[in-house]
Amino acid sequence: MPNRQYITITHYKEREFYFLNHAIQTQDGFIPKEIEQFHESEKDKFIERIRSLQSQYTYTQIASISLATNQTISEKEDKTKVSAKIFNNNYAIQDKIDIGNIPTTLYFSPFTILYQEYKDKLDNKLTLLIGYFDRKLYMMFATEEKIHQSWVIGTRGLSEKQIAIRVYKSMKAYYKISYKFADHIEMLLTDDSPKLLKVLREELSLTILPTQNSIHNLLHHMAGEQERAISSYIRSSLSGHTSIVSNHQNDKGLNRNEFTSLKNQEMHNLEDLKLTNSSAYSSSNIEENLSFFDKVKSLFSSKDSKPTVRHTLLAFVPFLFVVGMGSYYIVENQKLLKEMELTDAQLYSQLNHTLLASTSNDVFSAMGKSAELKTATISNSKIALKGVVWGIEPLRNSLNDLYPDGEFIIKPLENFMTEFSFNSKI
Amino acid sequence: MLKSSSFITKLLLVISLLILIFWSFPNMSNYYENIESYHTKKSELQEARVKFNIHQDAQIFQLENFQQELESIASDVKILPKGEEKKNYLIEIKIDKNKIKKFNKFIETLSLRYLVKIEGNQLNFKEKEQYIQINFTLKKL
Repeated sequence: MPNRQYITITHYKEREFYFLNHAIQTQDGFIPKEIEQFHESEKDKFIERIRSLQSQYTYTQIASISLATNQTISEKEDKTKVSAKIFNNNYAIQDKIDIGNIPTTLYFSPFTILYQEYKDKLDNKLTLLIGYFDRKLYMMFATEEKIHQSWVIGTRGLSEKQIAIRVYKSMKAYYKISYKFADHIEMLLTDDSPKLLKVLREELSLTILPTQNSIHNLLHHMAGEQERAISSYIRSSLSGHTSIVSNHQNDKGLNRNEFTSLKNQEMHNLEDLKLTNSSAYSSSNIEENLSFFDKVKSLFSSKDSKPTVRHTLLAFVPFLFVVGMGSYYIVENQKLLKEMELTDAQLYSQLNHTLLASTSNDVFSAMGKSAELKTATISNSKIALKGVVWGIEPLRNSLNDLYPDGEFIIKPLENFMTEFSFNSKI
Repeated sequence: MLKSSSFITKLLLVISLLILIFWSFPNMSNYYENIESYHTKKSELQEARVKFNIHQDAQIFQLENFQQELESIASDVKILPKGEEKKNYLIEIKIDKNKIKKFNKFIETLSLRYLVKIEGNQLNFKEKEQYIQINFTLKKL
């Protein structure tokens, strides 16, 4: 006969080990039992143990935590991904939940756990909430109104001091994008690490308030109240928003909020919950020592992206502007070139006409009283003159002064007059 | 802000930047270089107009106006269009021998008053009694 107490079973995997715990939920809080540890090679035994606990108690919830690094905070719920509502319009979103075939009914994001832990401390000042889960820093800058930014930073292999420096760098990174420093830092550590606590206090100039609690306890706390669990667990958009129904409000064995039966649990089991669209999102980790190329590349990744039609349309504004600007100058330039061509032609013609008029003046002046032109071709490249001459030498001299290479020919006419011809290049 | 934008948004911004650098700016720069050169040439023309005491910009060639002006210094003015495009005109005038300087002055300032040029920069003269017959071909600019 199963026990009618409300039990929360918690598990998570850290490196090659599964950690399992269960706690009895009472009105005054939960009473945790001993933590069990299974190597990943003992997965079947681990699952069997969960099933065994389920069968022992009528009312159970199996809670686990998503320690994926590709979690982001978004203002919109993405229907193609899995998400957990943190509060208001803030959702923790990740591509998919893949927990193999391990029974799980409630799956939580470290971000929602962080929020639940510190929500009462949030006000209009910027607070950096940091959760240290499985050697990863889940960080979010929050006020009472919204989560402004989130990051997940891996710290495996780093010393305590290096971890503290990363926290500080993330604050600086946030300052670069928002020009705001966190007024204070709250940090939730899930590993027993007094040294880390000490170093964080030493390295970070701001007041840091670290608290320590195990992942199991945090999960027991999250799953311990129906309202908290419902509002925070990760949902799959594919399976719809599954609700956790309280069927046994007044059950003697459970004085506080109650949860679904084992049958119902199976319905909520996330073991088959996988979404295929995994490529769109990636983690928003801050990577140390990024090269310039990596930084450029990171600009093109869709980290934390909330693409909207408005953003895309807005991006057309500079595009249209530069295309419009280029086109405007091309059109104006073409008009200008036509004008310039005309001006050039006018200037060139003016020059030629001045030269032509000058040559014509010179030729007629050279004729003077010594000769009379009959025909003449005057251009800027040559002259060809023919006429009657009375004063041969004055005419020859005048023409030779003007055009020394010219050919002056005279020819006597029958009427005692003399014809001359003069040809020259100019 | 750029980091939180979509791929399309980022791509558009980068394309915009490339267009700006490699297309819009060079076109703009080319335009301003040309406009400087254009103004220099315009001022050269202006100087020439001042020199010859001409107060107006050159006008587009109009047969009637041109003929009227030519008749003030010559007689028997004949203007015959050449070719189908009517861009060239064969000009034939008779002018008094004493007015040849006036004609040369007319030629000297022709392009400052009309957008035309004398084809081949060539004038043909032929004596006819007290007059000189002058032929040349005018081309519209």
